[in-house]
Amino acid sequence: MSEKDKFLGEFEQMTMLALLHLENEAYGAAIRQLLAEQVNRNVAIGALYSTLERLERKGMVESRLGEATAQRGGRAKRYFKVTAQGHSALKRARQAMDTLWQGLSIRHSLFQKV
Amino acid sequence: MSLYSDKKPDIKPPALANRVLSVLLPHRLVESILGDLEEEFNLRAKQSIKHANQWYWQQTLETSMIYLQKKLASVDVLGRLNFYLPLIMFVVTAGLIVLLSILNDPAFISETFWDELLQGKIHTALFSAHFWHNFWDILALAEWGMFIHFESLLISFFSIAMMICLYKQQQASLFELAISGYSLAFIPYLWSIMHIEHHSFEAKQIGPIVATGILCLLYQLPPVSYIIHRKLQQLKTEHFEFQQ
Repeated sequence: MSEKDKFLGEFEQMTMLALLHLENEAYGAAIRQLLAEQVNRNVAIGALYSTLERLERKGMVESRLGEATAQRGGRAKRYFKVTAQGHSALKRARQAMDTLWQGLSIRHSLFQKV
Repeated sequence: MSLYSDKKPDIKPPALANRVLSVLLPHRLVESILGDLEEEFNLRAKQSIKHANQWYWQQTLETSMIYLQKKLASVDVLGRLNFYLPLIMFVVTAGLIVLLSILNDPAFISETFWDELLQGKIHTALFSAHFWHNFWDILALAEWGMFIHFESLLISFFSIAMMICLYKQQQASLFELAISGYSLAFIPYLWSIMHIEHHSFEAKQIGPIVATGILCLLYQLPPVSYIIHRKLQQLKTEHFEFQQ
């Protein structure tokens, strides 16, 4: 894995956190809706799958095909799950952000030291 | 858990949109993406079919743009471009070299061609209808001796060695490799034009300078194309392993 692949972008982190929230029900439509409702990120399904594919290539998530339902025109769902490597990357990203946020607060749209 | 439980059986997403997506999406994702879209479409259609259709087309367009871009940048398309474009450039460059070697009357190409040749700009022949009209006849006059030039071979050798190092280090991306390779191939010719522009040479001195630049291009195009082909094959193998 290259150095660049160890880091997660903002949308990658949001997507992985959505997978963790949805647990065993993390598939395209559900993830898209959760992101739209919880963080107001109304993304195209293609953008979401593009991110999930990239995360899968990095080894951060894995996918499996699930059941087909009538609501989906008889098409199967693809379920996604965060891997152990993904968990570590998320943890690392959070620690990095926490470290950088320490001693800062936002007041009147300005970043100030506390 | 499914997001939506009821479904009006007579409402279907736009068939044309599905067709567009089926063509553009990667095979392994078609089923999942179309299923997700249909599931959400059915929920929206319960409130307004018009809005559901609009939403479906918007998703289709945005998703198509993403995957169209990926398709254009795909290994297969780049592989074909990396084969045909250098091949065409190689044949055209060979034609220019033969033209430079046999040309007695520059006015045959165009009235201004002699002045342009004196500035080292042999590529301006490409804008002449006469050049293209007689292209294969010009090429038929080629002799091996026209394509052998020691200085150009030496410059090309070093450029190709640099490319091989860059490729073997495995750190350069395909884009960086392609930009470096083709830049190295074109630089000697661009240098020859600038060199001529900044010095006052006699007419008989200009020919060898232009020949050095253009022969470097000819020598370097096939190996650069081959190195990029190797990189593309490597990416294709990695992609195939991921798909597996």
